[in-house]
Amino acid sequence: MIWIMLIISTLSAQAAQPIHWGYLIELSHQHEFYKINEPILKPKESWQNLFTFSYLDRDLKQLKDCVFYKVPGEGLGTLKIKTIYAFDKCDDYVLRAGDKEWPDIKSLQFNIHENIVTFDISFKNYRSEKWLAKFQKAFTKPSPAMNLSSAEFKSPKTLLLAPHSSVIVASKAGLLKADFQCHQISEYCEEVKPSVCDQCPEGWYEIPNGCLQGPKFCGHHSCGSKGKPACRRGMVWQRRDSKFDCRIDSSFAYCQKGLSVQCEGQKAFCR
Amino acid sequence: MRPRPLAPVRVKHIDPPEKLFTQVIEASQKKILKLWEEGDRYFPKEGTRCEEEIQHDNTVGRSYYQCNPHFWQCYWQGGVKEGPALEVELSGQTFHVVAKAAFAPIPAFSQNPRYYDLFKRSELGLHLNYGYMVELIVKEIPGLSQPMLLADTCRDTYLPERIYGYGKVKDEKDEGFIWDNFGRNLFIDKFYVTNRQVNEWRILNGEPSKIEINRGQWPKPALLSLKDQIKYCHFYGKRLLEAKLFDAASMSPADLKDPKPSRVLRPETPWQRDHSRSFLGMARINPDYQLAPLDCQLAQVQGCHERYFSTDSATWMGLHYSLGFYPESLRNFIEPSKNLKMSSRFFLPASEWHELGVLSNWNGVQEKKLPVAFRCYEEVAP
Repeated sequence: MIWIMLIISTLSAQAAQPIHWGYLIELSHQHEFYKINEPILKPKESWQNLFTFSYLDRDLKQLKDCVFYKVPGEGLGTLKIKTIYAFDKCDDYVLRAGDKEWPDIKSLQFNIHENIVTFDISFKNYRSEKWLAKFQKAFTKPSPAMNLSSAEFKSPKTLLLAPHSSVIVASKAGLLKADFQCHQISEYCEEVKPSVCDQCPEGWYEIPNGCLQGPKFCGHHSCGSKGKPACRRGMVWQRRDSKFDCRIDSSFAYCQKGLSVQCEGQKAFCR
Repeated sequence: MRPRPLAPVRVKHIDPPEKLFTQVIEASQKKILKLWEEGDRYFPKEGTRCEEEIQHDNTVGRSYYQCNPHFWQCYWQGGVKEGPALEVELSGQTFHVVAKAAFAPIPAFSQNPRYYDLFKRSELGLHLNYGYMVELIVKEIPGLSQPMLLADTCRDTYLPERIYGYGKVKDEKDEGFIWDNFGRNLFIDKFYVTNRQVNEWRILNGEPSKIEINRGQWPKPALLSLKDQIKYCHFYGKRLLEAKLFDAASMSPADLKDPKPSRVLRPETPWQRDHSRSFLGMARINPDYQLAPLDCQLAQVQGCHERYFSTDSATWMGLHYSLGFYPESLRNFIEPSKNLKMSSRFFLPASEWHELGVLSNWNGVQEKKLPVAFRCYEEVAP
């Protein structure tokens, strides 16, 4: 029975969309104007970036498919897919040739369901196709709790990858360098930029500054020793409200026995 | 008569094999994870038949086989049972999902192609720093395969947010050094880093000649110099365990529901606040104290049989081996010279070392008479 199903399905396979659309990771961009279940009609003859889908190839390279559509006008429409490195911009590839193109499109519309984007495509010869882009179950970061592992806290337990490797070479440098500031916090405890410290290859260190989150840097250091940043001690153990300003109350940090916490700006160091 | 308009031709849609394949793989994920995370449940009573991967003896507890790539390799090469396959029922049909030996042999282990590959992140993007690559096929759907990354979910465990104490205090009124980890995501290795794990580090680091080849040693604690212990932890984005974290993970809080207690107690053992009421305390009073099997499961001291990956020594948050077993290397930024948990299987049960908060000094060099184990912890950035 299975074999019959397989033979029939192989003979009439219509899956023109890329194989890796079976396990995408993220819908990282969606055109802001087009609505679901409505044919895309304007602006005529223009290239539009309908969607960007992220996925991992079998070498765990993070890639994205830019899905471009040339809206039909005088001529017919064209769908094109360009696969690029995840940190490059689709906009830079709008007018370049796609890795694969499907011309002669009379009309195209899409729909979005939970974890699935569908495309209904009608071609010149009245042939129609339905394409499916399926996402792996979205990862929701769990609240940390007893018995939770760091791996489960950061990522799904399994990640499905594309069956093929990609020849795309990353246009940006690999991992973050040592001492790169991966989490920027102002002296007023405001987050200037969200943390990217999970991208530091060898971990990160923090210079405590009396804020709930202090500035962080890629790499490692021995906190608490002479001339080094102080170590973080926390702002709850005091069991009192305090202004944890380096000059007023530096109990949020500590140094090894014999040294004292001193401040450079709001940052705590050991002298 | 007007000509009848042409109706659009919709090709009769029959699911391609890719779609069925994806459905089978999705449906098999629970079973795949169970095999990976709970290898101990699949470990046969009569032992395994894969000498190049596993040389089991009774000194090793079954929890060693959780998230263990050698067990994964052994299972799929037929060392656990003949014709291994995970059965998946889908729409009334039974499919057989199996791992594929898709990866190059690791000559240091064996000449067999591997059913997994070690992964260490080398590009931006992924949140996981390391893991294990595997590839699955469905016997009934030839020509397709599914690469997959398995995370190591068995290694470490979360240290809850609360106020903690470090070291011993002179008397009950003395609060000593206290601190808190509110706003920090700390995860501590449950067991010592093993030779198996250090072998993986050596391979990923391009140093296969340095691996431990004696398979019987793989579950045992890796004995690296302090410098290499730190290097090892950093390689995986982790840090060598700190003394104050070790104390936090070992000293049971008086009230788990109150993360901001007005007094932070310093229990002397992980199981009993008062050392004198534990078997270690009794051994101090009674020189003829006879060790019971349960004593050795709690803290492996001199006189106990050697055993690894026993789970009875777990503390309140899931850390193992906080007293006894091996001397353990700890970083200490409060009192840097106190960097060694001395309590271990090399000291009699009556020894003064067998008490939480009691630390010694280590010069960072391994010696035969005092081997020093280690473990890492990870602070996950917000």
